[in-house]
Amino acid sequence: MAEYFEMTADKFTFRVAKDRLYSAEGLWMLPEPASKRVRVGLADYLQQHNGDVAFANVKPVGSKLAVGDQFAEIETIKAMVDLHAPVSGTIVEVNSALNTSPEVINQAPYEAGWLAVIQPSGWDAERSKVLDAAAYFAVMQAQVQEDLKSL
Amino acid sequence: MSELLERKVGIVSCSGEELAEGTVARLAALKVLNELRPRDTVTICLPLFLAGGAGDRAFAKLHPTITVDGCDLRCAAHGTEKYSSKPAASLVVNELVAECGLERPEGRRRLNAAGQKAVEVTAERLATLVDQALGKEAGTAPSSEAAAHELAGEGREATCSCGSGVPVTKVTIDGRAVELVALPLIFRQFREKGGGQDGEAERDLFETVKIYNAVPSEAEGSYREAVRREYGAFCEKEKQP
Amino acid sequence: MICAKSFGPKARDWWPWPSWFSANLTRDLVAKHPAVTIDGCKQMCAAKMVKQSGGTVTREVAVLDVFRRHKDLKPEGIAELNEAGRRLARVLAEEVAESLDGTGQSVKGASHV
Repeated sequence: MAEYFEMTADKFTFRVAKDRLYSAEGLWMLPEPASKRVRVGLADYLQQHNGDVAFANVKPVGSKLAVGDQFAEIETIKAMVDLHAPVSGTIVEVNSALNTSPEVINQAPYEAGWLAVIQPSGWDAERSKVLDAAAYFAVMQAQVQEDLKSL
Repeated sequence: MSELLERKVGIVSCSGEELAEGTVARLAALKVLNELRPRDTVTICLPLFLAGGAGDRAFAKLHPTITVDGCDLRCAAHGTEKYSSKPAASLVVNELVAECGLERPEGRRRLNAAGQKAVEVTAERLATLVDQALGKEAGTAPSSEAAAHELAGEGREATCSCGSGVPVTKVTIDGRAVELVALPLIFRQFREKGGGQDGEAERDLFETVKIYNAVPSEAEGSYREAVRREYGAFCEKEKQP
Repeated sequence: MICAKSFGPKARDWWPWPSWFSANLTRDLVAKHPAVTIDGCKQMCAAKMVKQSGGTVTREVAVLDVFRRHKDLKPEGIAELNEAGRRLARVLAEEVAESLDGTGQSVKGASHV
């Protein structure tokens, strides 16, 4: 079971799983050593910030992505949110649970709520540009503080 | 070292649907949350609170909480006391309406003019209670007399008692193990503000501890003694190199 | 949420659930009669509270599920719903009413996440 960095602001607790990497946008990446693929999902802060997911659409298997390409979108009652590929490669698997139960993104963002598995095409070079958990935690803390100041 | 949570006040309003006063309670709470005191307040969702919401319960345990009920059933007040701690203050709309000589509100979905007036009055009263809970005078900065209760800061990393880092100290009170939250943090801030170990200082310290911990009135003496003991041990430890 | 004594249209009662907390009588009624719960978010507090009180939920309605079927009715506003929100509420109310009318003990289309 993953360990977490945690931050509480008001009544909300935001967790960052220590065992994975992150984009500044708030997507997590979990490299799978055996298959050399990368599983991708939403970090806890991003899913809480956007609210209950009503729809989640991920580009189909076979889609080729460059870093920063829009590869998925989620729609909540609050917002429509585009998600951008944190790694270049090809989508090899999409979480089928998102069709019937997209709320799994909210319920288990680091476990069953994953979005897609990507076969990376430039991981060795891109790996150094993503954030480790501690670095993302700092980014997230700053985002939370900004949100509180905007009240 | 993490510091105490930024001081905000939780607002819990009832969810009553059968009386217009329930609607007044909710609209008044929203007015305070969104307009009158947006940076000082946090909404506690009563349904989630009662159904076991860990974040809401932890918040209400660590922050002063004000309840707004529509009627004498006082569901929000009872729920808060049962699952967290006694509210810092409680409002009951029908009592406030009577106190202020207002016309009784009507309309559950859409309030009549009397209902709108009740919302205004309730919101103003609630905002005043928020200020009092934070040691502020009518919207001004905290007074020097309230310094012992002023625990807010800038850029704080906050943690909560549900497993994420607010220290919980087990103390023995009347032969039972009791958990008190945030003692080291309270003690440190108290010392930094010049708090001593004389009788008056210990009274102030205990009042601060009570903001963050539910203390049964019948055991207050025992709790006070336990806090005094823990603070003494804390001060001794601080003296050590 | 609605607590229905029976599925007949004349024997339907509305119980604002916080009063369950305060009134044992209400909790007893909830424990003895089937209920339809309507929850605004995925925390599903109404459904949880009925079950915790020993009641039986015959249908759990999640507003998000209804929104999924009527994507054009995006609700906004907290104290005051927008027009789309009010229309979504009417759609939801009609669905629940249909499921309560004349269906005996079982409810068709029971939805639960």
